[in-house]
Amino acid sequence: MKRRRLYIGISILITLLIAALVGWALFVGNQQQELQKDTADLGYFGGSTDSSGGGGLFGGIFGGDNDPENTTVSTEPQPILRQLYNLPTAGFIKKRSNAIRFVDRATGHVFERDLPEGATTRVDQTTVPQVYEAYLTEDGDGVIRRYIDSEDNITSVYSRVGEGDKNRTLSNANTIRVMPSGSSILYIEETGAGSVLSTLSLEEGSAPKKVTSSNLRGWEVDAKDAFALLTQKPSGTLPGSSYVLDLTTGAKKLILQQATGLMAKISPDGTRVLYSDTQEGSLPKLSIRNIETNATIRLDASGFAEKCVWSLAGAKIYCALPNSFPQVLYPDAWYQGDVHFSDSLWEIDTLTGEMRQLFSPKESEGISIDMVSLSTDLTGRVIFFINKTDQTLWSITLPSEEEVSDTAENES
Amino acid sequence: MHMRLFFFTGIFLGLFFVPLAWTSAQVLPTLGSVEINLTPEHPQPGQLVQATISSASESVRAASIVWLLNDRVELEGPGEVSFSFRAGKAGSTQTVGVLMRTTSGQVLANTLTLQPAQVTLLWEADTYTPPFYQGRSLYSSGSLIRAEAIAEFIDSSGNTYDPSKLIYTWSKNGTVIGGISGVAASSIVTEGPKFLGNYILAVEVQAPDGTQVALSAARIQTTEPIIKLYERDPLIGVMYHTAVSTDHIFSGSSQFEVHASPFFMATQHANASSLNYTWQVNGTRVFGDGDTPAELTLQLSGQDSLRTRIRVAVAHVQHLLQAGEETFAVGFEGSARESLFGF
Repeated sequence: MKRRRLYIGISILITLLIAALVGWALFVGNQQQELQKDTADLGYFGGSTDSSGGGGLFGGIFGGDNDPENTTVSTEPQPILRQLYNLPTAGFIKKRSNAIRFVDRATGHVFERDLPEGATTRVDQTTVPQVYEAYLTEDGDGVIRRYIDSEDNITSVYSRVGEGDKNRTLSNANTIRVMPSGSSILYIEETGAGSVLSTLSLEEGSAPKKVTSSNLRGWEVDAKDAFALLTQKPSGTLPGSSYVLDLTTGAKKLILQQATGLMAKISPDGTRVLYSDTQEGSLPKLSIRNIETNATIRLDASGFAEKCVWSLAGAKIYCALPNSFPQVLYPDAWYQGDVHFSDSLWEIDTLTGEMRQLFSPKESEGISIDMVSLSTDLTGRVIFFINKTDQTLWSITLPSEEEVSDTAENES
Repeated sequence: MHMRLFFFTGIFLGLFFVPLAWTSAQVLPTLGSVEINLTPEHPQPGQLVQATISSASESVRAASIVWLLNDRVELEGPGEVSFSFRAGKAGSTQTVGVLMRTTSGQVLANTLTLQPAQVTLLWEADTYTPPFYQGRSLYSSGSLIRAEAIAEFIDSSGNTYDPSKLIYTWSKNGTVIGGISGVAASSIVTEGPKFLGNYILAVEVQAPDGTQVALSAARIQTTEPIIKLYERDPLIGVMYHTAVSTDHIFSGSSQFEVHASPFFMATQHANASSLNYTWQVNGTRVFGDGDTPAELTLQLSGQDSLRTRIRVAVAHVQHLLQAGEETFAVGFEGSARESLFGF
């Protein structure tokens, strides 16, 4: 009897020990997983890494999968939210192939990730520390890294991916935009007399072509291949104006005048402008103006034009609209980093002004994302963006029309 | 039918008797003059314009009035002293005419031709904002104003005037700035308002032949510099995207760097010698980092989480009214430093 009690006691002790060990292993596994995830994304382990989850001692079996796409349970096809890179990203481009290239802000390394769930590979390991802003050109085969010195001077260095030792440098280029063709850029250089706007082909040996100059330095640019929309940098306390610049002749045509807090984006064909302004200190309102007729559609939406992107055909606009606005001066407080938004993604019909909410990361996944630098792929089904709050890279994949109709047929 | 008769009678009287009235007031003493006033005086293309008549000779309120735009009757009736219309495109010609018959039978007429042109005044202050900042540089006392006029003047043949041929007249609160006005003077750099004040900066642009005039103005208002604090991450640099605010929590290390950005001060960069920084931590004076006085490094000792008050004051050595300060009550997490896994 005594022996039996002893066996029971030993069994309980062994069970408790196993339970404690499993708990300990789970804890260590989670810690290891977090550490490995960060370092893997930095490329410190070399080769290709899969940043879509997993890893860690027990991560693959017991670890919680943080990929939000798997947390949504619904019979209808839902948009899929993906974090493509979980460290600060200086810039990105969706390649024509099914991949995205992006620049790590800390190291300046260029990574490529196959979409939607593929591996992440480092494709350029030229180390440029603290790249505040980067542009990928030529379908991702060229990169412009932008960094600052202790006197706040901006230096921009262009090189072909994988050929970091052969580079071209632009000094004091306050603003750079890559033309839609990808093979040339538009840049605004600060000068003693104000600023000079030039275009530059990225072909070796090509020289900049000056288009116009200005007494002012604070310009936001939306560049197309033949023209550009120049808008004064906005403030919620001052009116601003916007004009279209013909990049061949240098001719200017005023489009929007004296609108407070003005931000503007021109349609791909150059016929319409999406803009936002804050009338009498109110919240920013979105509108679409026809450049030729001046006819304006005032949208029933509060948001910033900067948080929107035109579809390639110009029929739709995708906008990240804040779910709420703290009581501050816009856009100044947002630009200065005082506030961050929790956005939802909306689709706007540019002819009718009809609006439709596509996805709310907050409602669907409990995640607050302040979307900036929005862009779409060729199909218009995937929206890529940076989360301004932590500078990480994300995408939202919308269900295709076939998926939606298939589901509708199955349900009927 | 009556109105048409009145109209043609008016045209007839207008064409033949009004000139006579100017030259032979003795012959037709009952005829007076009527003036058309436009608001705004120099309308821009597409702008809503109000034309109003005034007459010295008799009350116009009781008179029968006909308004014509490009020789088409647009408005008629008793007491219609004003008429609104939209200005045409830049370079187009519009003729506004008015016929008036007073209760005493006196008939008056006048016409006015306008050719809308457009100018927009754009301005910014020559003040500091951090690199990559997407907002406007605002004016603070003692700094400079950079302004530019973008004009759209088209002649009757449809050709755009070369901006360098136009005449620009700049003024502050209505006083013409002679030294910087003139032909091709489309942009200026000038002093801003003094002593926290404001003024109206205006530009009037005129075609070389004087046929077209356009005006644009802006109120230049003084704002106070703003001091923002940002964390400098050793890997990614200054985190301009998130300002340090009261209740900001620093985590993950025992050493922190913060960077002060003096928004809207007259300087080229934050570490310029023209700026004096005064840092305090919990009321004790501390000093910034050598050649980079805009930055402060905080080395924490001990393992406990703690709260600290950081105060930074920035003063411009030349412009006494350019000064700002900010105090931040921030927290530092202890767990990251004492954690077994806080690598």
